[in-house]
Amino acid sequence: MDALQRAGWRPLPFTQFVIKIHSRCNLACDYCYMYEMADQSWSSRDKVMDSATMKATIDRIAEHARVHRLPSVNAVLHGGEPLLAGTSWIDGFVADLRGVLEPDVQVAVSMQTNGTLIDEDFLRTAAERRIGVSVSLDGAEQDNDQHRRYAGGRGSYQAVARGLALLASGPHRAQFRGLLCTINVDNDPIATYEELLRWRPPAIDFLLPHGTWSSPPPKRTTDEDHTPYADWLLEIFERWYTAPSRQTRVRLFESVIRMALGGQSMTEAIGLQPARLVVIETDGSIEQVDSLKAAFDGAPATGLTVRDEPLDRALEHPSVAARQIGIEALSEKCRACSLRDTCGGGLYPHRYREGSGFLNPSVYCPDLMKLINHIVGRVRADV
Amino acid sequence: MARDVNVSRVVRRTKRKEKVVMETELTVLEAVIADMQDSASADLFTSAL
Repeated sequence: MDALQRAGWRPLPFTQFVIKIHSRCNLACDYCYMYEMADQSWSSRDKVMDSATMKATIDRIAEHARVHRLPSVNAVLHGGEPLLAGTSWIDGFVADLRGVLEPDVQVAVSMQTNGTLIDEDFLRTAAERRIGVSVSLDGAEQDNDQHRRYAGGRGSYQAVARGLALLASGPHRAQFRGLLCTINVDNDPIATYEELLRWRPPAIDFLLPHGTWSSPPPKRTTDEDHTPYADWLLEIFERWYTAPSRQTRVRLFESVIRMALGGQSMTEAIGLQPARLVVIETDGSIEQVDSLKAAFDGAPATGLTVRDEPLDRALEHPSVAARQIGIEALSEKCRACSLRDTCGGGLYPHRYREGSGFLNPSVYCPDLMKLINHIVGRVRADV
Repeated sequence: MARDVNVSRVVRRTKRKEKVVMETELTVLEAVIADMQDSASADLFTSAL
């Protein structure tokens, strides 16, 4: 860090605040980075953020925005399952957050939920408080329920579908932000996409399952000619790209297209743009990007809390810096790669290997290369 | 097969200041180009991690 700062580098302030308002979940999805992977810190956390931590969280965000003169911030209500905190808690939190920050700082509020607890009462509050809602869904019932189940083994699809129907088709559709789908290459890609499309989502985000070189994702072998994730995604890409009109936005694909046209990525999963996201846990701990939980126990920890330290202290953390310094944080192989700027080494946690840490290409390197080359080739042929 | 981008349609659509988010008549490529001229469009994606 000292060397970086001596060279003139300065961290960029956080603009996106992921707030863990409830640390437990009513589902027990077997691929979840929160509960099923290396980091087990959830088991010692407060279940719901208490009022003192809530106030400290809001004050620290306001302080950060004031110090850095941020005109706007994004607050993402997250968990566990955030709706376990209850509608009235969420209502009070968002009212307090906006009450402290606005009108000087505009606050965009969104929530990532498993959808099972969405009801009319919550959606009225979401509309009144301008909370955007994204729902996790992996496809059709039999596909979704392979992994997204209750602790007893029962599938979650029916409950999600009830919630999604209220959100996607009811009077509060304006709050619907999109669907988050974790890729399962055993499922048919076109059937998955068309099932998601059935809900008319404004956007879909396909997530690569979390994994590392030390704990590889399903079907990701050491054979570099084997690209199950690129093959799966490219079937959807062609279906999406060749439709007569855009039926939904797909963040991963659009990020590659934007970069091919000289713009910036919209996801930390690819590209070299600095990550400006910080996580605040229910007990007030300040943590790094959540998906680091897949790497090793304690990986996201900074040792800081909103009660004791300003968020600026987290900007000094080496791993936060690593996600902001672009090329400097890449492995030798990535630096020499022709796709370096578009790929950006992939999602930071996916680079982890015991012994060498994060100074590696992504465990998804062959898939990312095939995916990016194909999309960039398609776009260049069309413009 | 290459598909031409209808630039005039993109510009016309963007000038209307409409939210080019969904259910647009634009092709994917036209819509992405229109979005790139509308900085607010990126906010749609901030909720998903």
